Amino acid sequence: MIDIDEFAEGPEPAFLGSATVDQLAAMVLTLGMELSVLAARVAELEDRDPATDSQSASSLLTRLFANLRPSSGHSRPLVAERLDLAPRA
Amino acid sequence: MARIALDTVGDDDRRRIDYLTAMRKLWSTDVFGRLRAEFDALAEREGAPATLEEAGELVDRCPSYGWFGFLERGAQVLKWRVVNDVVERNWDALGDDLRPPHLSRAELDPDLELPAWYRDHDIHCQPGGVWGADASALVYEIGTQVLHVGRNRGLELHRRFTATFPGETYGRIVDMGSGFGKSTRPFKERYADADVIGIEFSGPCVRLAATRADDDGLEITFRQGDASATGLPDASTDVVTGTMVLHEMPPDVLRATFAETARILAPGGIVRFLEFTRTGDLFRDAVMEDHAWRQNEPFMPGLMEFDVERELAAVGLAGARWVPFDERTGAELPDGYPERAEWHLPWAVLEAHKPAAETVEEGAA
Repeated sequence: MIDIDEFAEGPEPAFLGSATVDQLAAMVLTLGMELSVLAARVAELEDRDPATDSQSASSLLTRLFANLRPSSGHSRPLVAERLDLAPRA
Repeated sequence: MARIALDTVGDDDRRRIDYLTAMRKLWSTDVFGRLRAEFDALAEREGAPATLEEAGELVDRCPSYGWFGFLERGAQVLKWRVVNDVVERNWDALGDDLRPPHLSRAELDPDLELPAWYRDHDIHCQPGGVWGADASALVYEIGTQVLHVGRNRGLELHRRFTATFPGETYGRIVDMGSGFGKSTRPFKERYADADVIGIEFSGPCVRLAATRADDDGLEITFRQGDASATGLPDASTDVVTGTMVLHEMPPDVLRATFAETARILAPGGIVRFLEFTRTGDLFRDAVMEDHAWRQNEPFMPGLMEFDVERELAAVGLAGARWVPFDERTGAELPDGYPERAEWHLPWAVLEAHKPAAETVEEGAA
């Protein structure tokens, strides 16, 4: 069996500004995955269909992403454009 | 259809895989859609890019691109971690999938030395590659089933590709880079009388391929070996094919593989590889360029740059061309790719043929 940690220790490229931010985001996504497992178990215990439940993997992930995604900084001009706002002087 | 390792996972692992699949869906639809809108807005404001490099610079400035890249890479890395755990936990049951085959043949070469270009990076970010341990093939098999968006469960994509082959019968079909046999089995299903041979570097994949073919009642030879030096006789093959293998090769190996293809093909034989090519949509092509390094596929841009017409003609193969392929329906798209809102890989068939003997003589005269 491959010892995955032996291979996974190499440097990962940074997409979100720095390797640290990427690592944190990866932890959040992993945590989201384990939460989705727990949420599905709870849904089953309560006789709800995990696939259509508001705690399903896809709805959980959508909310997770909506909260993770940057909403300021260099995205501002596009937001302003979309809302037809004049840039501040 | 034989069971696959993915069918054996427990409820919690299934939920983890559901989460990864949901992440992939979000990434390929919502995030990609935002990225496209941002790119179009920038292009409208600053002028449309004229080259791939300019498109790449513009994509880099899109606010969602960091997230797009992170989610693509992140989902891939997380996938292998989950799948590796699944295989490790279920090894007692899954290890049986590597048993010696009965109907098919697994021709292993314990002395085969894997080249550095193949060993030195983990293709698709799979830790240890598809060859590093007995379990690697099973990890790979599950991995291919987890994150494919669209209808690619089991052998569906490969059956659609196989259905596009023009011949009613073939004597011998060689599948280069046959992996665990996912691309090879549909050829034996359609061409039951053909001698079907898979050539694959990875010993674990060769063993799993033979087992899976056995389970489906298919007699196929899977040979551990090098696609650029198959050891098959000259002019002994009617079809040389391969799926998602050329883009894993550096240019010199590509040339050697095409030369080997020409050598083993009989006059009149055909070449058809299912691969990826540029779409002509600079935005998509720029994203695809970066996809290569996000997925640890360093040679993919090289294939995109490869002058296939000239290179294949140089080894005696005629009519080389890319034909775009719709992976959802199996339709060939001679007029190019239709507009699609979601991210998709730019599937295309690289086809050519070895001129029949009389054509060669006429040409020589």
